[in-house]
Amino acid sequence: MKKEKQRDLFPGALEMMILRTLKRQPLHGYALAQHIKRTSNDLLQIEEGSLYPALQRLLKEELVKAEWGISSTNRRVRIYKLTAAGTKHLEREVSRFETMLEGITRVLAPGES
Amino acid sequence: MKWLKQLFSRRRLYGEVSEEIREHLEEKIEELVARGMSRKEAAAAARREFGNVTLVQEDSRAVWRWPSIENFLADVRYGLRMLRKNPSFTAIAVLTLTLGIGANTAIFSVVEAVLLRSLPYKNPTRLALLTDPQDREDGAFLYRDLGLWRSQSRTVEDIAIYYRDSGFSRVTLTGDGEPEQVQGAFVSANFFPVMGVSPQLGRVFTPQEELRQQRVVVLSHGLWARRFAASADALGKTLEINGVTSQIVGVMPATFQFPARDQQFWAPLTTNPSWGDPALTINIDPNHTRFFYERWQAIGRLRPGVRLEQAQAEMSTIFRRIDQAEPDKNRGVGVNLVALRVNLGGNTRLTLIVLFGAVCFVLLIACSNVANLVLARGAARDREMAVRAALGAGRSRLIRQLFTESVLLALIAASLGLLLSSVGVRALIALGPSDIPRLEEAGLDTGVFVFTLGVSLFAAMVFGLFPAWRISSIDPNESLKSGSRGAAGLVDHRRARSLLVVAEFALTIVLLTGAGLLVRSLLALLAIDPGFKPERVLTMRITLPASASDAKRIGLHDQVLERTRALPGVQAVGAISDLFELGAAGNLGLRAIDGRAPEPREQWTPLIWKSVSGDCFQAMGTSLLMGRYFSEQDGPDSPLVAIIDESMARRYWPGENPLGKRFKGQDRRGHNDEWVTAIGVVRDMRRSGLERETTPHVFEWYKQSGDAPKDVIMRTTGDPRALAATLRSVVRTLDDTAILSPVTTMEQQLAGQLAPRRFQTWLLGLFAVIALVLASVGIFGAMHYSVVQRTHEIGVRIALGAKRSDIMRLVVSQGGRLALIGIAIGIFAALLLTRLMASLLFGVRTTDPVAFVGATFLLTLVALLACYIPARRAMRIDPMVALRYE
Repeated sequence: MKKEKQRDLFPGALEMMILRTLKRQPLHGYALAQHIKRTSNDLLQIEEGSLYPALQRLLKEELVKAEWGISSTNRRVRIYKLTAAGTKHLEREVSRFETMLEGITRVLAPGES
Repeated sequence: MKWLKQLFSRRRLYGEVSEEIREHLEEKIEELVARGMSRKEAAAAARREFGNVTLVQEDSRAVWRWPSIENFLADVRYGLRMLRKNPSFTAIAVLTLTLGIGANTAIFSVVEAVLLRSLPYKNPTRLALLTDPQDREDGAFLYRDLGLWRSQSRTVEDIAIYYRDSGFSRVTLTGDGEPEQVQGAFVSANFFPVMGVSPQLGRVFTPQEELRQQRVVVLSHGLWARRFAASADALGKTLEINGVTSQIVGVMPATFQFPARDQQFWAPLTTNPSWGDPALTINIDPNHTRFFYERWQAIGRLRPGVRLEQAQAEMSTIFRRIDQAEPDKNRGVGVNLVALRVNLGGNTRLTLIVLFGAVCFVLLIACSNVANLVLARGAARDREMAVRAALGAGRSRLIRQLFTESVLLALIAASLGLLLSSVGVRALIALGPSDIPRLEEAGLDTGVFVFTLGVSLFAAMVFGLFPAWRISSIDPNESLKSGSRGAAGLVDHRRARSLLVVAEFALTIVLLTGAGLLVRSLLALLAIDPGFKPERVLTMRITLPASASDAKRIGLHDQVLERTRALPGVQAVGAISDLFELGAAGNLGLRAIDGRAPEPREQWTPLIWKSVSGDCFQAMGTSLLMGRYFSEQDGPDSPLVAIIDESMARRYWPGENPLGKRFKGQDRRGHNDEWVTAIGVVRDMRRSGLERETTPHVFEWYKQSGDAPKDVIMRTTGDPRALAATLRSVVRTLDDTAILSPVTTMEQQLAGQLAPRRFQTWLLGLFAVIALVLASVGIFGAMHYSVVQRTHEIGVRIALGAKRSDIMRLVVSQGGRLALIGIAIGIFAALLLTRLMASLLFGVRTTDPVAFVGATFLLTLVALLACYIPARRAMRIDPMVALRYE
């Protein structure tokens, strides 16, 4: 029962997107969710809630840090920021992902044509 | 320490996540409301888009967890709750296990202290005893060779010598307070450095003191505490040993008990009363005998890195070299090196191993009892397990949960067992015989704790894993379908439980036969006729200081006999040179037998010569079979006469009348060449302990041997103890320099000899009884449970016309069959196992039918009784009630 429901994402994808988003600017959970949805043009089916376990994982690994603050809409929110380790991790993950994507694309390409 | 911080800040973290999620939803709702939705719709939409809030919270928290540990903690919490909810199950299981683990721990702490713990000497593995190859108890070499040994050996660092247990080291302490007979040791000055021990207080003696024959003494911790109230003032005080004062220079720690457990002091060997006695240290006739007191017990310390075999090889070479250079018949045939650690007296090792085996059996029986309980309860939990399995718990998860409960149970029992064993160990030390070395060191230490922990985990595995595996194998579909009683699983359980009952009975019968054999041995021993009548006999040893003349000794002795003979209530008084002689007698032959060729040395057998006086035989209560007693006419100048015992008569004159036969002994008193004539034959007396074969004896009349026998024997008409004080005061008024041993009765002395055997018999008996009780509880539980389970079936049987007696037979035969199978297997095992304890037995064979039949009968009886109660319950089942029982 504890198993996370499988999203249409590969493991680590959500974390990567969170890190990428946070690299631009620190955000709180809701804003983060909205941003990811908006930028992906709603192509990705992400339950907003699934963000939170991912954020906890990142917190635990100290790739992000969180601080309570006040949002633009005057709410008490927890704002997440990328740490130095998080930046490095993101770079590594992105390059690994790009390699993987390239590989997958190449394999898929001949069959498509 | 990050994980630690995380562990403690988790509660706060969890709160933050919840708050964050709440805020998230609020923000979303507000946004949706702002876009024109109603608040209700907005809330629903927000939740829909968010997903399962609880699950998200759980998952967020799970990130911070260690799933295995937390599952474990949850299992522990759950297990504790289950144990609390079933107090009767918990109580019985804990009690049973406590008995098993407690007994195990108690015996183990003795085994550890006596057999396993390394000796309290520096590098004890480098210490080796140097013994006679033919007799391990005997000394190894001549004193005059010692210098050669020490200078020639390259493998042995140093050799120390000492006297042990011989008559010379058993002395009487006099001076302040009651005189006391104690075991001392006379040792060389390098004894302490060789052993690698330092005194707790003061110093040990020096080689100079040894050379100068200085009367200095090192006390044992026990003696120091007893006679000097453990005060540091003892240093500089004196100890009176056999009437001679010695300066106390040091006190050894309590752990130092070499050469014997009851060691009370160590003195320079040159201060021994017999040191330099020409009669003892100069051999009269090298062709005839070697006096053991010429040969010394020795202990050597090997050089670092030298193996025992290397040292042994070198010792043998040195022995040959010395013996070739200067042959001496007394030197013996060689020197054997024995590692110090294995030199444990008598049957101690075997006794402890047997007892330890017994408690392991008890523990196994306890475990199988608890396994039975767990299975019974498991049946009731079929549904719980089935529900858990249906909800997705894996089988390993179920086993883990059930096993956690078992471990909890075992650990609770282990902590109680430790308490029980600390009491048990104290009892063992208090009641244990004095021949077990280092017994009083037994106690609960780290090793014992680790052992107990291991044992309890082992127990948990034995009684927990099997049921856990069984219970978890339930098919949830079957179990849930079959309704409340989970009948599908039960059939298998019943078979498993039967198996456990069979195992218990097999183990119990082994213990019972073992105990039975020991009890039979003890009874056989008690039934042995010692050849004398120990009832109403008082004994005391009178010794005079070494300086006293022979005339004075004889004079005092005669006066004592004369005065005490006249006392009212005294039936007969006599004396003998030693009342008892525990230990093996040396081989000895006769120098000449009238009309026969001399006896070659190879034919020598143990032979004992004793001096007697007064009405010694009458006082001992032995009977004269032929001839006459000694009389006053037998004086120093009349022809030498002797009374012999039956064994002696059989040994030399089988089928002949020994009266009037003449022989010559190996006598050092100077009248070697006179014939001694046998004038009487008395019954054999078992003076060397009841367990030993009788030894041929020659009794000499004290006026002819010239010895004043030390041990006064007084047969009384009433309670002998009433005369104890009188006996003492009679001797005291005659001579105030005499050293008096405590007055004891002969029965007390015999009881002391039997103490080790009683100890082992009682202990094994106790364990067998515990096993019996556990096994009967086990079979009772199994049958009771079976009857409860079969209520319906039995109800149907009765309704269909089965008679009550049929039902009774049904239940009893079911239980009886299990018991008999177990007993049959057990007897087979017992036949194999009791063989190992053969040397603990006396007068019975390991296959003694009485012990086997008796144990079988007893156990069968108990099994039938244990089945009877559930059977009666089954008989009384009302079919109407039973059929409605669904």
